[in-house]
Amino acid sequence: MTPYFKKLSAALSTRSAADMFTVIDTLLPGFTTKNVLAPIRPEWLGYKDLDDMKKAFLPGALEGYIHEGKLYAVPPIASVFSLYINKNHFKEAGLDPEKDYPRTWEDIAKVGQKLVKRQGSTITREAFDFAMHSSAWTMWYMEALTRQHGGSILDAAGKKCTANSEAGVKAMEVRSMYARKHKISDPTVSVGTNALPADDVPKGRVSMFISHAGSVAQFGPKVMEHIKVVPFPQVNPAKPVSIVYGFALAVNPHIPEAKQKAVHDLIKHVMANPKEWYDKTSYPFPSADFLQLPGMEVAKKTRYLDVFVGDIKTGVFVTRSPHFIEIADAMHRAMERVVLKGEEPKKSLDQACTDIDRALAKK
Amino acid sequence: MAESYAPAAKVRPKAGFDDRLPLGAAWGGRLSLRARLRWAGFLFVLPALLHLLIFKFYPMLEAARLSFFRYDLLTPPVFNGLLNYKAIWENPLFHQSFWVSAKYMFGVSLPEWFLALGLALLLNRRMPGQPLIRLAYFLPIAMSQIVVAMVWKFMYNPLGLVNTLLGFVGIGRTNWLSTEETALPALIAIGVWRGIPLFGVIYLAGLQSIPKEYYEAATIDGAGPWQRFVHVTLPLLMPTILFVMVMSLLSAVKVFLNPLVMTEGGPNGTTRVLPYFIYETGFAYYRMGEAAAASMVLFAFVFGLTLIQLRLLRRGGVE
Repeated sequence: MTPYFKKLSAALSTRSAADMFTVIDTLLPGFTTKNVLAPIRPEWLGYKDLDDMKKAFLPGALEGYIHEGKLYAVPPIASVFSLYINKNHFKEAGLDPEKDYPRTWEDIAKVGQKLVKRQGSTITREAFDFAMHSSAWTMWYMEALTRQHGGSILDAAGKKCTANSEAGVKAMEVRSMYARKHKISDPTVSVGTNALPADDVPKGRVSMFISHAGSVAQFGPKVMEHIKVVPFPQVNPAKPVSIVYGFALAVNPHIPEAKQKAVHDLIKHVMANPKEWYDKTSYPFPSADFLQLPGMEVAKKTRYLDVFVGDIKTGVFVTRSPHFIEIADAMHRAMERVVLKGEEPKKSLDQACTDIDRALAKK
Repeated sequence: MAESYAPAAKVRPKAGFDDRLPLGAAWGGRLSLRARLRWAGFLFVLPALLHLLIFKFYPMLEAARLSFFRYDLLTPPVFNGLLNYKAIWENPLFHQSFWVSAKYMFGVSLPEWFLALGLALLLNRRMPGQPLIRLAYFLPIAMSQIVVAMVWKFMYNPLGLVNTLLGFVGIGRTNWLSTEETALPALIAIGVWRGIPLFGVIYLAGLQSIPKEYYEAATIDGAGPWQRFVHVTLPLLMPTILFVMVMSLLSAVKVFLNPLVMTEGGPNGTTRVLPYFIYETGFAYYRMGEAAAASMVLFAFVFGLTLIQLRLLRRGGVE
């Protein structure tokens, strides 16, 4: 959890939050169940109702912001995780980045053996790496892997942890196999931090890395000349599952209705220029007609917009729970025990589920 | 001449300097000088007292009250008795954090006691460039804590200075802050590095307050350097040693910023000290009541530790 959201929580508790503020979809259940967000009024944004508004967005793009049939935030960006590969590293290793890029997790292990660089037993350049810096990122990876194996982190009611199921164990095996089994990844090499988790990519310290669409803007066009973005790896490419998330604009419920209406006008204004959002952030705008906007054809070629939008279409939001942060932290500790200490995935996930169930049992 | 040796009691002080005399109406009453001084003293300390009351004691009392409530920051608190204490007692992360704090506290304090004394003994001797050396070793304290944390984070980076230097002597690369075995020792090393200068200065002041005549007398009696240290320096330095012990333990148990900035309590909770646990429980998990209960446990622990040490101080002849 970033300091911004801690400050936002404190501001909401003291009723000193701004009239309009940003929320991330993962924290929304924690806020909506405590009535600290005002419901969004589609009619004030120029739509007939919520169904009409949904039609104007990419399918499912608003689902992460809906609670008990009401919309609580409007997303100007939709983010997704895709695979960044270093074209130069591929060519050096005798691989064609246009054809030989990995489609599955097993493919990563195979091409990784050609891409990894070692000095004795020490890896000097990783073939592939998962970011280790934050529990939210761990949760995004683990959620995607678990769902690709047919499981989920929580049961359908959101009351019990199921991350230690067979699907969860397989997911954890994939999460750890590059470091422990295939030896193409070394957690001691990565220098990614919270501000720049994908920093190893532009520095050439890793050949393949999963990151969000915003990394395109963070790296800049010069670095992106040597980078190719390909779809999120799958267990079974015929049944793709990826993870979407986003930041969205919410309204303070403690301001008068007239002011809330004015905030809706501001949201409408902010949402009126998707191209500007995209140019500056490289996060796709989740509107239904986004790809048809002028300039987007070029972006498909130079900024891999079509890859990101493709992953958004197969994407689902992560586990909805008011206890998301505790769940993510428990999963992160489980991952650390397996990846860093070599603990058995099942044993580690059993411990994670004990921690998660304890959190879920609390009011 | 005889008058000048007269007993003091027979000398009548001048009017106005006798605290038993009335002082007139200037201050609106018949306050004695002693009372006036008392009031003046009180007024001088009043700002500090108000600061303590408002920003220290009131939040402490509020935390104590909150520890009996369920409170998630976003909805009004609900009284739930001792359930927060039960919850933290049943939470393995709390127990882990408690032991991490204990390990950190002694891991930092024990080396500080000895290394700071060694440094002070070294600096208590005449040597060329002494002022510069004293300035250099005092620098870690002068630096902002956040700057220290950031600089050390870069130094512990897999490609940072620590690994580069160790590489010269054939020691392989380690990600100091992401490895369970090394993360806490890495933070302890920073704590020791930052604490030694401070406690070294305190020791140095203690050493310089020991009269030289004692050493001269011991030397004349045939005592060597070791005997002088054991029989003169150590006994006379005992109050300072005990003070350093108290202060170093108390400052170590409160550590928060370095785990926050450098490791966020990881990996796998191995650097999640109790203050970080409290912060995480309150502000990340929205369980302020449990965080307040954990604060009370930390307070009781520190209070108990202080009482023990104060007893030790008294036994060591320090009042």
